Amino acid sequence: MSDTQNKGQRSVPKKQPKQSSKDHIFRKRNPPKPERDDSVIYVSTKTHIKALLQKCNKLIGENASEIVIYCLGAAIQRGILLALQICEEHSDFELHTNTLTTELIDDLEPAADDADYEIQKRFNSALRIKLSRKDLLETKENN
Amino acid sequence: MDDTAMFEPDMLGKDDTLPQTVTLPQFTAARGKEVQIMKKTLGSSMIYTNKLAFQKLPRYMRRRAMSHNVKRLPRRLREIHKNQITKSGLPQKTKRPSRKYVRRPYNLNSDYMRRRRRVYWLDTHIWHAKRFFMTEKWGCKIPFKPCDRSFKACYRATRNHCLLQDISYYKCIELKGDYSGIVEKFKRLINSKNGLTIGAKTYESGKREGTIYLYKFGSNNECIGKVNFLWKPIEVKHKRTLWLWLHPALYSKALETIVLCFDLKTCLDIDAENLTEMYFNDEFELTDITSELSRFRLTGPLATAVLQKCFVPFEETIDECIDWIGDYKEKHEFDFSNNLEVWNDLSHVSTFSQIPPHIVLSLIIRDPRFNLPKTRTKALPGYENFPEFHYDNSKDINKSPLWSNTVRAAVKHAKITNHKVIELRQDILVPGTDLESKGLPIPILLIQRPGCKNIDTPGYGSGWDVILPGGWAQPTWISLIMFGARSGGLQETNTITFEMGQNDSLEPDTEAGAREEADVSEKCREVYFRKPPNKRINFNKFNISSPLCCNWKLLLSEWQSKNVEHFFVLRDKSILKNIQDLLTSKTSTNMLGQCSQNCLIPVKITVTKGQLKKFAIICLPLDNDFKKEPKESKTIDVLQQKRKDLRKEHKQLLKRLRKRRIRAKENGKVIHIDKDMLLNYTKEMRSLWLPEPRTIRKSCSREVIGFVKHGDFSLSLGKSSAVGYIVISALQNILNQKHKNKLLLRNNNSMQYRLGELKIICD
Repeated sequence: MSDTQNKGQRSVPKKQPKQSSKDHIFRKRNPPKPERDDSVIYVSTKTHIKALLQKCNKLIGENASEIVIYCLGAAIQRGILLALQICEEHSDFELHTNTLTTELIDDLEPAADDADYEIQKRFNSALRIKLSRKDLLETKENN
Repeated sequence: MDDTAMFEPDMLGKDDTLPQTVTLPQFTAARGKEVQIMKKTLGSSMIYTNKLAFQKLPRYMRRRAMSHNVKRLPRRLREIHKNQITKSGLPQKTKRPSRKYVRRPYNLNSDYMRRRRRVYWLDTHIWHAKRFFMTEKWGCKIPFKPCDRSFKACYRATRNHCLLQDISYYKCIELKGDYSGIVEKFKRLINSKNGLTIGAKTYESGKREGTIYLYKFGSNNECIGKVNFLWKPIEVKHKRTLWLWLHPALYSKALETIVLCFDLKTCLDIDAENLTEMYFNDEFELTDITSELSRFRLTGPLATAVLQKCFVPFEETIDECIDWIGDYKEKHEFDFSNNLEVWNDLSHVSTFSQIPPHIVLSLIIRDPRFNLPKTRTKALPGYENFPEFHYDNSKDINKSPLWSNTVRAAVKHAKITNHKVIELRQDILVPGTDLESKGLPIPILLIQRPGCKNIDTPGYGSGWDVILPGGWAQPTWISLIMFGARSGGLQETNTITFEMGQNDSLEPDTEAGAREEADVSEKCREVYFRKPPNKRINFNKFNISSPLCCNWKLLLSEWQSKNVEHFFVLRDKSILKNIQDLLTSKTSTNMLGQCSQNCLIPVKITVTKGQLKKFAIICLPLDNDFKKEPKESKTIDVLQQKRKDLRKEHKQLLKRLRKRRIRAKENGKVIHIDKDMLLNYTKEMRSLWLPEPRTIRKSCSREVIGFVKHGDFSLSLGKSSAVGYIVISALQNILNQKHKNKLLLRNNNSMQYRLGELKIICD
């Protein structure tokens, strides 16, 4: 998902998302998850932010060296809030953020016999926040 | 600094040099880590602890009487355990269990053959029978649930890892004939309003698997059940092949209907090893090929990873030529390069949503026994540079030799025994290394399942279905398990459908579903009457008129005020969608007038408080009920006195009879016990405990509109949820309510009503 690719995609006029019609049923697929690990957290708009905070605190308690937070679209704000709250509570964590664009796929399921499956692509902005422990020893050495 | 100076130079290697200075913080940090590692080893080691070796084992590996019998321990711990136990004296040697020893079968295999004659065994039966509770259902022995109490672990597997189930008990029938002919005939077995039919354009090329509801011949209402189907890829225009995967409960009915519809004649095929029934006429041909195929179901996000690790694709080399592959390639001018490309792309796919729904991928894999890991490992997907998965619809990736029965027979015949593989492994110079030979090829089919489509738990239950040629189920199964799949049984199938928010696939309007329902309620009755009277719930006091069965017919009759003989479940997608929209006030157009009144609507209900159980009643709330959940008022059980009287009378009678018997015996006569009288008494007593319901609708203070079929705490929603059916006639009353999507529910052992949120199941 390099920059040039994104620019190329954006020059194409944006298609309006089709809704369910007579021939098709519009269905969103789940967004892809680029990483899967215990210390990778995907922020959604459904999960309570306090629960996510607790999950992060537990990970920190288990001496996780870094936590990765992914958030997409409307959940970006919640993700940022979460990351900042963790940093506030634990001063030895620092943030690295990357913005990225995720391709989302919608299925147009056939509802009539003479229709076929179609897909439709959309793009949405996403954020990857890496929370990592500051190496206290190194900073001391530098001083 | 002095520390380093104290080391003798001889202790170091020649090229090692000691640093001149040491930075204190780094040095201490490094030592700190070492201390931590040491502490950790001491904590987790089997040797350096206060506990015995077997006490340190994880729970699922513990066995009964482990300290007594060394062989119940894993091999790597036996030596340690022996050393530990010798200190406290070795246990006495026990005698051989002689009776068991004597009674063991002379030839195990022939014994198995005898035992599977009555009921159908899965190919993985022996593996399952050692680890699962087996139930006999639908003429097969089916693994019900694992013995290791892993209900929640299995759920977690479907959510985060991979759950593996053997669903080979599904019957497969092959139908051959002209495409348009088959589609035309099937039109009389399908209701076109239920979604796509068998002749839909998407399914014609055989690139996707479809589902239909099969109906009785020429009837639009009498459903037989849900059937999966797959077309064979087009080779010859006129002669097409269709596979139908039928649930064993509805198999005989469906087969009967299809034979009737296609006007087929029966004949027995004696060429094959075991007798298979064949049906044919001039145009069509129908065969049961269940024994030639096995089907596994993998659920969960790691399913792709497990398959990737387990299945090594077959790439033909010059010195290795397999007849059937050569023949197939020649005949169809087809190579598997496209399939391999897609298979390799799949290794980067992290979520199922990237794979198009229901696609079929054909593969030729190596014998999985040659690729086993040394220990059970967890397969994880690779994430190096995750490129997007692009599926090209125009490419043929579904052509498979598995469709040909000669290939299936050849593959089954060519299989080498497990014993041979072990021998091969014994001959390796370094034990534990990989085998040099790579194993024979097997054709397989992979079918994607997209999982749940509703908004609550999107994508839950997604995975792959694997279709294997017969005879290869057991080695593939073990290989999949070794790569980290967790095995589940029929119970897991039920939980997955429940968590997906769907009703059981055997619905109450079908014959199979009605039988299933009767079975369940009969079992519940048995459990109920096994309890002593003072432990039985007196449902009469709870105002529950039909406590242990869902009496749909009576309920529907009452709501329509006429006798209902036939009812059906509403499956028309547009009407179901319309009802859902009406409940959420999205539309005001009412399509309800279009459908018949004697039908049930499948619903899903969630409550925030309390836990719903099966047979709970669904009721209409009154206006005040939205503020406070009501309670049913106490009622007096009129039958209680009757039961008391009956029992008293019966006891007196027994006493009298006993006296008479004794007297007769003294006179040298024998009076036999009247068994019919005793049975009649039990029957009468039972009918006083659970009387035949006269009314359900108005049995309690709120009007009953339906029953819960399956209710439990939903682990994916985090609250209690239930699926069931309500009568369509009550819908107008629901729509007139203040809150359209709220209903009352009450368990059959409770007075408390719960307010639940209503949703129509329309996927």
